[in-house]
Amino acid sequence: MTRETTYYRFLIFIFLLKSFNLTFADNSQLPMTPTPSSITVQESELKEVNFDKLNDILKKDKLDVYAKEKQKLAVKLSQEREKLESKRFSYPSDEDFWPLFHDYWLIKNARNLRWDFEKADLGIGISFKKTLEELSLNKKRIKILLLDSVILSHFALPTSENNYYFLLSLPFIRSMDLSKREISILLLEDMIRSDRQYALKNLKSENYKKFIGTQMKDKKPQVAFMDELLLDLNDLVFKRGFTFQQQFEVTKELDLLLSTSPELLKSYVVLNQKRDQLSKTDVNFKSYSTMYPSPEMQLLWLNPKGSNKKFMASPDAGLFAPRVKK
Amino acid sequence: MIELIMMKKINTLHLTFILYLLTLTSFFQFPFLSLIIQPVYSQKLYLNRPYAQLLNNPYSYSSAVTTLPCATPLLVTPELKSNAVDWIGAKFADEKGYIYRPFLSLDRPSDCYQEKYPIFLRALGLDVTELFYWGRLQNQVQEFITGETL
Repeated sequence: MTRETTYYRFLIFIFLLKSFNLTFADNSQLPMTPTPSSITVQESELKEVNFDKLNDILKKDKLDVYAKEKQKLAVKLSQEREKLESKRFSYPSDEDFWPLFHDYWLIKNARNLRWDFEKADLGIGISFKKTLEELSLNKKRIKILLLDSVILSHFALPTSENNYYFLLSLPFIRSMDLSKREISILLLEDMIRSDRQYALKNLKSENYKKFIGTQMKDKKPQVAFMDELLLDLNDLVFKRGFTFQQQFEVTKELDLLLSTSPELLKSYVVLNQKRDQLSKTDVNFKSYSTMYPSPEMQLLWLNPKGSNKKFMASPDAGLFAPRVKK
Repeated sequence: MIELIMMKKINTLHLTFILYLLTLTSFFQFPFLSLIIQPVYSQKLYLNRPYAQLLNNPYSYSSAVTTLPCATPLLVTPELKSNAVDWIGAKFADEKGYIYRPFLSLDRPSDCYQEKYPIFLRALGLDVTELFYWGRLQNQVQEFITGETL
């Protein structure tokens, strides 16, 4: 029913009501205040107005239906308002929790991780995207953040399915002079860890799970679980890292994934050789082998016969190698 | 006039035309009016990130003019021209600067953390520096979806 029709119906209704009024008996002679002998104007009108007839007209005009609809709408609106009000007192949902926590963790660790620095566009994102698409890994939402820090070499933050948040240290890739392809494989390795939810499994704190998507009790927010998780993630990212078993599984899966492309597989071997050498020679990345145990073992897992021991030349030019003028 | 509208002798098209004529004549008579009305017609866009920054120059590492929260309406300012791809000049209140185009959307975003979890966010107690970093972070992260063009 449009607003205009409602308006016209309302006019008709008023008109009808008026016509009823005309048919009433002339009550002008009746007193306005009650007296013992005669009835008042109001009492007379009450006697004469046929309310049943009025109800029939209301029904006929469907005004009662309209009133009911309006009442229903009012109830619905109040329910929605209550819902919105209760949402204000809720903890982040499953979908929102990790993206929000990533930002929180990165903000709190901004000074340690040093991600706010000026850097040239090295084309890491484009190269990684190309590699993933070559391997038919589509519909993956990727975020890459470069760090100017040696405190963390590379890490994929725990996320929901098909979402990835990679942290990559620029000094780390510069120290090994990795090529774009090697960097892509390094990130791919982190992607497998993320898919297997190793970071999530290695977190000791489980308190946060109780809060995700729930309502605040007595409308009092509790955020201690965020700091607990923050410290736990700090410990995992900067100290604990991953287990031998997890590393073995990642290496084997990546070996299988790259087996279709000999070039990529070769780059993976070279990457492990470079990492092995770096962890043994560079003081800055001394703890790398404890975080990701261990590049030396990974080389063995890739080829049990040990032919990878011989250092292979990188098939690609390093990203930071000085360009020779021809 | 209202009676005519009620009686459906004037439809909305007529009304629009009359208003258009009225506006035109007022512009000719009072040129300063156009100066007042012009910003109103600038395109309004909304921030779609938790926090983002208006920058002094159209590149990610430029110094910040201000940090703004999600769903803040920004007016595109044509006088701030940028040759950089995906960067546009915009203003919020008296603050003018450049912002990365993907951080803005035509419609007001409905999934801002500030609106969904205001009590929780307030309880986190992030200070001004941390909010600055939150805005800064958006310009540092490279984002893409595989299988889609960059």
